Amino acid sequence: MNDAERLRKLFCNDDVQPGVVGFVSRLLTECHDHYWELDWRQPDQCTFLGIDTGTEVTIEVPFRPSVFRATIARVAALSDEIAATFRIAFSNDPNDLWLTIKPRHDAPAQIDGSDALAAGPLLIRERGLFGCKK
Amino acid sequence: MRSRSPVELIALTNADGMFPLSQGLVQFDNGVGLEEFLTAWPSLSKKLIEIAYP
Repeated sequence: MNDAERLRKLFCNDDVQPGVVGFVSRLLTECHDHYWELDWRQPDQCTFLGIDTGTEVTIEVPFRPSVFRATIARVAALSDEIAATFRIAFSNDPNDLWLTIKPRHDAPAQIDGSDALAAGPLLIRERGLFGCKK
Repeated sequence: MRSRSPVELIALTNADGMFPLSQGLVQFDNGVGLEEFLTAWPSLSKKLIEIAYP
């Protein structure tokens, strides 16, 4: 599977990691493992930039616009926990929606069981979409 | 448009799988449950719950 196919697959719902919570978990893992910088400035389109390779892949996002806002909100809720691994910037203003994610050069080489990302399913159970305990 | 039950309304909002109820949020959007929700609103039983925010 090439980069574009793998990235497009990210945007398909996943029974194991469902919903926006699962999507953000998969998105962060992909950016980390394959060293992509994400630049997402329109609800229906985003771009992945290969930091080492210079590769650029633009994805037509199949989600309804509110999923983009929920994705930004989810990343915001996780931002403290993933600050050591990613440089995150975003705006969730309805008139100015955008999100950028860039892995840090000194990020852990591999995400393991102790990492906040690997705890994605746990976060689903304990926190819900915006980090609030249910 | 027929009035739907709360369970049906919630199911409509997750037709694309992006807002399962386990996430703790039900998102009604144009074309994805909002119209049905507004139709059902007058017949839905409502309950106000006071929430203590820490």
